[in-house]
Amino acid sequence: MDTAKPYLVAPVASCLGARLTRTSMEDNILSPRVQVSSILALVERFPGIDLVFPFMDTSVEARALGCPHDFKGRVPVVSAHPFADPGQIAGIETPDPYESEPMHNMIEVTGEIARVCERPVMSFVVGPVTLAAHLMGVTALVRLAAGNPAAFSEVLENCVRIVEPYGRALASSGASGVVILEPQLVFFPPRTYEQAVRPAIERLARALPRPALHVCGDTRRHLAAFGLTRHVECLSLDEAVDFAQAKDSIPELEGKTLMGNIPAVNVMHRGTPEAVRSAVERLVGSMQGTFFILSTGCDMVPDTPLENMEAFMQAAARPSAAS
Amino acid sequence: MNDSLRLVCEAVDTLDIDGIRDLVQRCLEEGHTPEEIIEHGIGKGLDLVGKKFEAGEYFLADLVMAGEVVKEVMPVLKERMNPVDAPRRQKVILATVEGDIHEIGKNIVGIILSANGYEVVDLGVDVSAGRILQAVKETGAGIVGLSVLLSTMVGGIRTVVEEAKAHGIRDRIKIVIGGACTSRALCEEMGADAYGENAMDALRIVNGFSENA
Repeated sequence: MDTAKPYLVAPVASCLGARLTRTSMEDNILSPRVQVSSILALVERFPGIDLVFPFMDTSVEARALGCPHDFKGRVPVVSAHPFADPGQIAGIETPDPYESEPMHNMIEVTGEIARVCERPVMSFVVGPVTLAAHLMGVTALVRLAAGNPAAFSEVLENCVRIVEPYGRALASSGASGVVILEPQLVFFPPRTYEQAVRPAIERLARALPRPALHVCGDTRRHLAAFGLTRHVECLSLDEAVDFAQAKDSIPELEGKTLMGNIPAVNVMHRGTPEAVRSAVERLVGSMQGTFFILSTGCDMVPDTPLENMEAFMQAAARPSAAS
Repeated sequence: MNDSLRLVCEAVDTLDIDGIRDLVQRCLEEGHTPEEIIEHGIGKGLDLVGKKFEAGEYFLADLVMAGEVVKEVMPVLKERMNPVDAPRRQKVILATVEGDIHEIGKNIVGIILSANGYEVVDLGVDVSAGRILQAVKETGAGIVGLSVLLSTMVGGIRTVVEEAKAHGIRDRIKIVIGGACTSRALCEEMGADAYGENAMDALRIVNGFSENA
């Protein structure tokens, strides 16, 4: 790890490893051995990576609970929501992460890359809102939040109960930190976050090492509420958020590390190497004197050009970028 | 605006899913036609919801709820609509492209368009270009809305554009794209006709195409 830089370099890029090993996404998700090989290939190709992530797969917990899903050449997507009723979610038995194949696979991946990569590993769990959305469907969850806030809170608490042992198992296997993935959180207004989601996130974060919260989409109006979330050390946010402006104008973010937020699609996937370099330099320049984690706003697209990833790493390592 | 219609508008605007049925029933009992209720009650309520969303006062969850509020009463209204009097605006085909199964954004667009008098043919998710073009031929729809959330699946847009050309119907249809990974630049790159940033934007675009048809 380069301690001279005032930031760590941690692109969410593990899926690019599949390109390097010429393996399918499905094989990487289903086989810990294949996924470890892909991540190792990525780290060997880009040794400037300071923090290593496994593949970002938001379906692990839902698959562990039997939700239907499909692959179609990418990380799996939950395709149906069999738990329409909050009572059904209350009745779900908490899976033993070592017995559940999807969870056990990721525990094995985390342990192995922590052992061989000689870098800190940040693993992923899904947050309570996203798991609830997988189980019930977003529309049902939105209706529940609007019509029965107490039942909504109870569903979130049950989702924390389901996820927490898995998060602890990832930590035991060697994860230095765990990112709570909440792509569905952006649906809900900040008041819902404050009243119902934040307590659940705090409870989950308290059980995890170096917890981070990742939320996709435009979260500018949620930032103060995110900043007030206890136990969460790091906020991983999408490109809609101007980090420097947020740090300057939102006092609640004091003490939180920001992680991000080079656009994964519009710059990393669709941009030119020059556009990538320029975006990295601009972000790093705007965060002068502030510790942050240089990353992508979200998971990279598997067919992101490798020359763009090279441009990202070169710009991240360049002394001028950090000055 | 009549009091009862105004209350329907307010119920949509305030996302009152429990109150909307009775209010619509009252309008029908007072002799308002379904078309009047849709245009002056529901449609105006959705306009207000859209404005609040664009102003940052409402969030995606509120748009979903607004859709649910409208869904509560649309079957009753459609049942009573006289087909002769029904609005004769364009048919719009909506689909999430092949390989992508996300549907919430598409559904919200469908609700907003339906509530504004368009005949929406929703083909669902994970829809092949072939099926979309077959639906265009069968329905005579002039507008196709394609939704894509997964960036890995954006190629599905180009496939629809190219196959429409190959079938000789490209100049008969307007292709509008939307979804989390789409953008104006992507729209140009894929050869589509317009990019809708959100459901209200999609409505404006479709209104524009419809007026110029």
